[in-house]
Amino acid sequence: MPNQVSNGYLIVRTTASGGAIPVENSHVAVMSSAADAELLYQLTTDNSGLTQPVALPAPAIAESVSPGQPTPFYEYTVQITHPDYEQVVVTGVQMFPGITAVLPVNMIPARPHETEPRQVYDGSKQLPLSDGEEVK
Amino acid sequence: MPEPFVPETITVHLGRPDEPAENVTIPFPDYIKNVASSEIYPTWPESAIRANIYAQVSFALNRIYTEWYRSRGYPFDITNSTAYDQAFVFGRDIFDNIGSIVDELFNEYVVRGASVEPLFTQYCNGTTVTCEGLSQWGTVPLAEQGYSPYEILTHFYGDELSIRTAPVRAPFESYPGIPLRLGTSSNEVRTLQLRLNRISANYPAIPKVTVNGIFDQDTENAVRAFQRIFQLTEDGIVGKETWYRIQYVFASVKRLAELNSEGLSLEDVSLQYTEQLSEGMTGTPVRILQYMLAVVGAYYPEVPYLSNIDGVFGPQTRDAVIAFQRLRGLTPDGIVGRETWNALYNTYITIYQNQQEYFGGGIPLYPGTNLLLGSRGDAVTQLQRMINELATVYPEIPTLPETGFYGEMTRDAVIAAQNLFGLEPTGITNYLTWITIAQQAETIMTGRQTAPTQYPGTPVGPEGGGTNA
Repeated sequence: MPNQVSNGYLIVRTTASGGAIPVENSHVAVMSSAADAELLYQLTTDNSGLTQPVALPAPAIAESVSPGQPTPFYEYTVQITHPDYEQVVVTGVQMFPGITAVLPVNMIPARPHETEPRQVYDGSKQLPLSDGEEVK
Repeated sequence: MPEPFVPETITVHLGRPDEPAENVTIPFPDYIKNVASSEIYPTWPESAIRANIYAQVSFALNRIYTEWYRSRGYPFDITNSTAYDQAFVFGRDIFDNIGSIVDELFNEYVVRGASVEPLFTQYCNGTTVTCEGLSQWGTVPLAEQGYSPYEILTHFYGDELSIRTAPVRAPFESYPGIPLRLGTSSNEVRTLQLRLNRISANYPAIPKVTVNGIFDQDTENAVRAFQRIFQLTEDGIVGKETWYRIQYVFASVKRLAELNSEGLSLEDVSLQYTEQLSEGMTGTPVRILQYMLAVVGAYYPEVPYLSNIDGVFGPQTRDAVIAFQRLRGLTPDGIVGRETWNALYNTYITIYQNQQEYFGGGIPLYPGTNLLLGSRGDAVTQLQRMINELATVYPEIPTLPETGFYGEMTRDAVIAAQNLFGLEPTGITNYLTWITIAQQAETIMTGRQTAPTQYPGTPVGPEGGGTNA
């Protein structure tokens, strides 16, 4: 990873019903996006549904303030589990240097003792500023 | 020309307009935060970020104002296809600095000349794609040269631009225009205190406050706790950003309470499938269908929230059924046969059983007839109990003996409540008066409930503040 000079910060917020209910004691695993998916942090949400902020490596700021740079941000994968809710996996969570990112996670109630399908969101499926079809 | 407005929520189609895809309904500010986090980089100079956000808000408000998709029969306001609209990545992370700017700007938009219409602020990245309009990458060097957001906008969209503020059309009050802060004493502060207490029933990290209409140290501490939880600048002052966030969170909290009362009314009704339901039908099975859809809609952004549970299967109900069928991989035909009903029931009952602690209480239902001078019965007792609840925080409203008889004292108390809440002061408790009083009473009653670990709201030390011991 070239020019790695700074960290970004990540906070995960787990709520249900459009933010009406904070989901406490969600288990949050933060992993690298590489194929080996190295586990970087294991966190638990508090009674406001929030994790502590954690530092994650991000590329140098020069990578994201002029066009055409190969790596404007680094990506991470976040997995959220809770016994009462469906598991959520978010890939492509973007980290920029010196920027705090908040990942809002909408938790869906699950049946007790039942394996629920994963909800998978891919935050990177649409790369900012690189979409060739923008004609709006 | 009608005035533009900011809707409470926006429905986004997750695909090209004619492509089958889910529609998600989310608060308008959350939509703009997602768009801004998806369209530009948070490391850009602040003026560049602001100029882009003005363009993004104007673009979205133009789609809503012109009913671009709705008028063509689509059940959504905007798409997330960048060939047509702005990028929106459902479920992605939101950058804190962008979020703060959006909280400030989400109801400000650009117009040209004397027009009130939000400008169709076309934009593109400016490198691989160029267009008439704003170049996203082009905003960066302009900001670095010291251009203000407004100057950046006029650089791309021409002179004669002005920035306007749109009212927020939602079941809550618009920002009063002046920040509420330590020492402020007003009815707005009282409303603020009631709402903070109600929110804190769900968010116990917010300390309880005494509802007295005075922005005291306890109130400031509660505001700070709210700001900390919701990533707002923690200054203890209720400016526009904090005001609207409180309104949005309060609205979502109250939505659950409203559903509870609907649920209570259906308590003795079987939720089993009886007959196929489709648009145009009316009756109790439709009402049950709507109630279950509303509960599912309160938890799944993919299902539009049905606010009107009236037993009439109209277009809104049909759209919610179609959204649910799409969610579950069923044929999206808007007709409720056994398969759709059972899938809906399973989803509903999972939520209900899992979330029981939030499905208590509720708001007492309107008894079905107007109550007035001379009325007697349990409904009158219930009304008097609710009025006494109001009297605990509103000195304008007298306390009543709970007799079950609607005498002159009850009538006068109802008139006082009607005056207070902006209703016609008739002294007769019709549907609107009942619902208003019941809603207000629920806010007070539930807001008073204290979690075991929660600061109780009575000053205990020199600072009288919440402690996190």
